[in-house]
Amino acid sequence: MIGLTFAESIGSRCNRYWRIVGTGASFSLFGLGAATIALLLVVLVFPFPVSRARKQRYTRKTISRACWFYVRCMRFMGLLSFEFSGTEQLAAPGQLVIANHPSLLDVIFLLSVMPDTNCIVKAGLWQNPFTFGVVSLAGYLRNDSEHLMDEAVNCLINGERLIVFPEATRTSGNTIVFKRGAANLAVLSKCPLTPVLIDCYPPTLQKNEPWYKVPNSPPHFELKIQPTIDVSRCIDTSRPRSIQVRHLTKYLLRYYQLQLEEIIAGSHHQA
Amino acid sequence: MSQTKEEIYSHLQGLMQTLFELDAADVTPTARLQEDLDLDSIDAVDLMIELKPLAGTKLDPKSFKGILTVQDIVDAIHQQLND
Repeated sequence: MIGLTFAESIGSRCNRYWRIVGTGASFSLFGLGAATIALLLVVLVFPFPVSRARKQRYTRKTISRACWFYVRCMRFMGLLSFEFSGTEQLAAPGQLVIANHPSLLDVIFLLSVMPDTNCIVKAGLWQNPFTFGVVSLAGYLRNDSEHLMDEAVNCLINGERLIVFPEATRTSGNTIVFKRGAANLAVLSKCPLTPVLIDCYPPTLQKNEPWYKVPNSPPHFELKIQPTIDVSRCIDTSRPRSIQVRHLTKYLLRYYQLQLEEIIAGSHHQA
Repeated sequence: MSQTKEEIYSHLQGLMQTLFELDAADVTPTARLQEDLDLDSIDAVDLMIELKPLAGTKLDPKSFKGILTVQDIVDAIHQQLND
């Protein structure tokens, strides 16, 4: 805190306290909001005699709108800022959307710009009374399902969009490590693949970090939706599937390392 | 035509090279499938399918439950062949 006047340091401390309170409030808003939405859907939408698929679509759209509203609430409270680019790429059906995973909010940001999307969700959210309702009504895929791979491939073949974090968990530290699940999905379903680069600076809500440990200044999220990749042009599809999956995983990891390095070398990290 | 453990082992070594691009030198009897060779559950299923012709019959998933190392696979197949 060198160079700050006494008043400035008091100001920044107050701002920090406010952001701790604000973060707590926004987490409560999230839980209560999710539970309320589920309740309203069950009462107002699910009694109607329309197909299950339509109800599911409506649920996902509602979740997307709620996420859209939620991230704007957080911005309005001064807790964070964000910018998106390339969101139009996310409109195509049947695509696998992958992203690096620096923060707890990544999926909220992605859902906020994707109105009808499936995603693979931690099984714990089915045990959580606040989130149980929405995740089951939306028909999201459970990560502990025995047939997860088949379910995910089917959903892509049926034209759904699917969000997957190839790291399978939030990034710890600065090194990203990809599991092969996402590449398996892309190779098995032969679907288009859209990479999203997420940068969050200063880091916040990382793995094993309590929510009240807010960074010194409000984090800025940048979500860059990259041009869609045709997987068959990145790897030799005549090789055995197990090799294709390994090559694609390596390709994607390299892709992310290079692209993220570029972002980090960019202006705002030095600020 | 029962195969020796050495034959099964060298077959397995070759299979791991073609399926997973592993170095033969890394596929030692004590190499652990998950930690040392970085195989996941999908790889395990692929491997079982490829091992079927060698074992003659369908491999019993139960006999694969406790498998951790390359040697465990060799033993399981050898036992199945001699049952």
